[in-house]
Amino acid sequence: MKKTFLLIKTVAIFILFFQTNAFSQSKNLPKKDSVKLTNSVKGKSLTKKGKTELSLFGSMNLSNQQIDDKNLDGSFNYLFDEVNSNSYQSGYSGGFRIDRITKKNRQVGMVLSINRVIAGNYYINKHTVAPFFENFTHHKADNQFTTVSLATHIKPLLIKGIKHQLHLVLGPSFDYRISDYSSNSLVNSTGRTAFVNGDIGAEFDNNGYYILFTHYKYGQEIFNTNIPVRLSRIEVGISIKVKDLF
Amino acid sequence: MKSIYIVSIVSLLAFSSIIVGCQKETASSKTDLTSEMLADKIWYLNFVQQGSVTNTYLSSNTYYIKFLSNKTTEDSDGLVGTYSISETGGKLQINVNAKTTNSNTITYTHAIETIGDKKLVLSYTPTGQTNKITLSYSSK
Repeated sequence: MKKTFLLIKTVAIFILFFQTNAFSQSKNLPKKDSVKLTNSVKGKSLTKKGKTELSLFGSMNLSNQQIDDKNLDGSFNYLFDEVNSNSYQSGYSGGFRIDRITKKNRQVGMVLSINRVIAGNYYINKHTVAPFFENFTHHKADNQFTTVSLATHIKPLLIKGIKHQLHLVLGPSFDYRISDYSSNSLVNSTGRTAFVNGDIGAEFDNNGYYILFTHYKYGQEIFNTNIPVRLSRIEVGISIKVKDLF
Repeated sequence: MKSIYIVSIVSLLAFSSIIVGCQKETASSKTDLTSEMLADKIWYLNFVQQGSVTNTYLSSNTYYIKFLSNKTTEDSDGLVGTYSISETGGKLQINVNAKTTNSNTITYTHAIETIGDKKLVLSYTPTGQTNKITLSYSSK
């Protein structure tokens, strides 16, 4: 309940900030320019230097986490075949993104999102208690959890058409887990989970009406060094400017 | 340019407030998880190992022991009593205090080598002996 309230509060701060910011920007402009700017924003790609665009996005994710339990003691066993699914499973994300062209003509972006990660778990190690039984792991990682993430990206232009643009996306991101932990997961962990990711992807801008994107994120868990977890995610989604929606 | 800094600061503040606001979970104890895995199951003895000798008991008439969530236990030999889980020096143990059908009290402690939802390995060293006896169970 407390977490939900915090998230709502964060979203509210964002909306309030952008409404205030947009209002103050248009208020400072001469009337003529203000009208021109309003007309030029809808359905146009971000081309004006120094202009910031706020967009909403939604995406589907495919995730896989790689778990290394070699540093754990042998108190618990989980049968490998029951917990290991070396596959990508689908989750979803949603949030805000802010795009901007800097004065040096570089497009940059910042993304704040909430992600429901449903991951296939790949356990690197198989353990054995000879001669009794074999093929088990010492740790059972949660494969469903929610994170809040912040990403900063640079977006070099790859292809520029008359109405379309294709950008390469590069940059770091940070995921912090906000959902509860299972007792299996918590017994070996610190109770905090965060991933530092490297992101790479591509974004297709359809004349500013919408952006289709695909990102690959590869992250390393930082709080639980005794159980190194690497999370790989592929995101495919669409982003639409807030001004075009409301 | 000024607005992007403000946007960044607001985002970072919002992000930080979520991280700080989310209360840190307290680590679940090993004993709690062990109780969860052990309880309300019938554990059937599959193997007994003493030194280098391993005996197999995979038939349906093998020895079994039940551990219930109300901390009571009973086994196929007729022992009925209570049990507790403890952790000593990082090692988990099951302590059983039971009575035989003749009302004789029996207490014993077995070390938990490994425990899961389906597999359990216990060990103990009989008094006056040096060889550890290892018992392997599976639940059905």
